[in-house]
Amino acid sequence: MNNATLIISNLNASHKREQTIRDIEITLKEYQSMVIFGATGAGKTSLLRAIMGLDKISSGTIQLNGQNFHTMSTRQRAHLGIGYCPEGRRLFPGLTVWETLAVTFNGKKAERDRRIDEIFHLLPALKIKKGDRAWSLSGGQQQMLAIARATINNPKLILLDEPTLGLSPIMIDEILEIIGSIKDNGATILMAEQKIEPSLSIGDLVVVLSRGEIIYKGLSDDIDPDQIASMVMTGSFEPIHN
Amino acid sequence: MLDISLQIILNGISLGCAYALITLGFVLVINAIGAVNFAQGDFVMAGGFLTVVLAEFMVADNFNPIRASGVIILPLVLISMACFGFLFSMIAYKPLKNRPPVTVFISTIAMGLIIQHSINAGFGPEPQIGPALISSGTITIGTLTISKQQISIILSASFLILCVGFLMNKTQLGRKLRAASQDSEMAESIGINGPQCISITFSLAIALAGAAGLLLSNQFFVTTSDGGLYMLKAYIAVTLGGWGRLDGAVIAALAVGLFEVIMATLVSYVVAEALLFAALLLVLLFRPSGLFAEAIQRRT
Repeated sequence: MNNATLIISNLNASHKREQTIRDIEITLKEYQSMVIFGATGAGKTSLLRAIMGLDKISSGTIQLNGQNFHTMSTRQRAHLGIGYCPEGRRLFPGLTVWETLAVTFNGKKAERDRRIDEIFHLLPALKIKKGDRAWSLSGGQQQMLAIARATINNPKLILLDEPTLGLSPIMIDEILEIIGSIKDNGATILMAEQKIEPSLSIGDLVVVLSRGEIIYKGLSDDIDPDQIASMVMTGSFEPIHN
Repeated sequence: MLDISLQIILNGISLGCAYALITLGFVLVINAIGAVNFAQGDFVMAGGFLTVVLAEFMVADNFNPIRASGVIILPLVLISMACFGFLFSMIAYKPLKNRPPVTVFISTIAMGLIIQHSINAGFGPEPQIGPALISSGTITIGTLTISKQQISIILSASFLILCVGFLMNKTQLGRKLRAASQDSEMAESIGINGPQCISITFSLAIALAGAAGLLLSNQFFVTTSDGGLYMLKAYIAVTLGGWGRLDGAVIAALAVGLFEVIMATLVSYVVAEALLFAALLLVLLFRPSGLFAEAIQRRT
């Protein structure tokens, strides 16, 4: 069995009949994390949605621990071990913090309560608000809850779509710290982001997308934030020659 | 005078409780699929006819053919109507789920008409009477005389409403139904079976409509043309209560029942109906999101 957690081969996908991503090739080994950068409309969200089964895959394959799952339904992918934190959080507004976590957890009641306690221990801000409905939380608290929801089942792969969107600088640091601690616990993370500098530390690997295609792929240590910013702005990769 | 007033209020509450069951089901479906089930009223009528049929069959014995009481029939009506609800979702909603909501409106109207005409073909247009829930007759407390049927309606409906509240708020199934109704795509992303949740919601909604049909079938009789009126009452209650709000819908349904009975007693039934529709128009004009409305994203 291939020891890679996630292998995406020649992936093409569309949203409402419009092709959104083209010929995506990504290999993410166990415990590795990858940050996907790109301008608005570059295909970051579409890639994560295609992996989650929310956008139609026209060709290509996706494997998780050697198992092809590109033909599975979204629900089956969730049960396979993919946690998804979408752009804009998309919490269930009428459910409380506790209910959101409880409804997401797949397992027995005692195990569920133990896991929710673990999350509340890691994120005490959520514990204080456990009886509050999701719509009443602040942006940062909502994002924490969205991340907690994506991780409560200890997924093999976590997809995070712009988790810092719309947050204050202090809250961005806090959210990235939380994601960093999830990564340190051994999770494989695929994160789409627009904020380059603060989020670069999360990824072992970096991918830059433009018009649905990968224009750069490499180790995060091999590239500096300015180069990424230039690629995001111009939509092309031009190596810097010193 | 006080006795009469209390009796009228009790009448209003019992009617409002039956309306609350219809409206609860109506709101559950609106929240789940974002479209109105226009057949909800016809399922109330179907529940009433099912009650009449079951009561005829369930006689105590051949020598003492007393019709079975409503409270014995109620579980059978709930189960049967839940099954109809499941079938209904498979026929009237599932094939059209990716179409615009107006398609579902039309499909539920068509199904409602089919139900109405099928029952009409079997029973004719004459009113039928269902059995009392426990027994007919009255209880006298001091100078106050209370109908046993009304007390039974209030208790049965309250019990069912509390059961729905418990199911929706305290069980994992209820949490799944609520999550799926608030964001079906996201619910699928966390492993919830969205289509199954919708079918369960239809089953629950139509079981509640059937229960309302049973509760109303004794005091108000049941005719095949009743569905449209019940549907309108539910629509008024949902509009007053705030689209999508379960608690608002129950309170508004009680208010509609009370208002209708009080006005019908003081003035006339026709005036009561006219004023109800006038109130609906005023709410739609000045507070279109309902009296108990809050933003849709805050729905429970």
